[in-house]
Amino acid sequence: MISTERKTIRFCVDATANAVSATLPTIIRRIFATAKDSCAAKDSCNIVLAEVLNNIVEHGYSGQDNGMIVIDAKVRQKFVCFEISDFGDPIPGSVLPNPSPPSCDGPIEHLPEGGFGWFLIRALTKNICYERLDGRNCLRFVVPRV
Amino acid sequence: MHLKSQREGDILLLSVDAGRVDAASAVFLKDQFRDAVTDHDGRVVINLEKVDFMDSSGLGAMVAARKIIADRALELANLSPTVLKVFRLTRMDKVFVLHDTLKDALDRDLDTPAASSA
Repeated sequence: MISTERKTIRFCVDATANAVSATLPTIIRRIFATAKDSCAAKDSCNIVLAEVLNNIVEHGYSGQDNGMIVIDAKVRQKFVCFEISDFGDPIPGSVLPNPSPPSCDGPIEHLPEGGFGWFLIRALTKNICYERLDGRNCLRFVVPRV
Repeated sequence: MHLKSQREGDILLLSVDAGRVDAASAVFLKDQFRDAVTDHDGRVVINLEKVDFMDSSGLGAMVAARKIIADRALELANLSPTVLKVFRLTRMDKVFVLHDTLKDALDRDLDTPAASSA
């Protein structure tokens, strides 16, 4: 029987906005190098990883520039499974944000300029969970491939 | 990140000269936009042809730009599928006038509502 399981691919990224920006296109290319996925799945992974990694840079490491982020990705039949680790501050209360959709009604001066990140992560992932393990933040989620 | 500015008749055309507008570059966009629109009270179109990817920081900068010219529409042309996805999911596509191509934006009659603003 031919296994559809593929190996886990691991990436290490410096926890800075510039490193994330420079490295993400390569990471997405490598994850999907052997998979014939729709553009939608790649777009979703691209958006989610950018938001998760930027949150770690901004909040977990609070702007320290010596942090490290480890991304484990595994392409399975229906999902891309991710485990993202960092050694920064824990997520407060260990509770993942789950914001309501951004409001586009009302006066222009009241439009939100932030708060989109977690909304996008929640919209594009499934089974997201967080654990703090021996000084390591571990975020796991899957992105559907269809 | 650089915002190239040119005039097309009474339209101020701003082209984002970067493949990504993200947390590493978004802070520059708002300031450059504010400088570019000073002393211009006509239509403003941002060409996103080169932008493959935009994250929530980039989107936040676009909304900030929208507020700077709150008295007019802010028109965006050439959104990549990934960029459009971010706008649609967050419903921020509703607060800009979106054009499929730059030609659509420049040909648009001032008195006619844009076709793809929804």
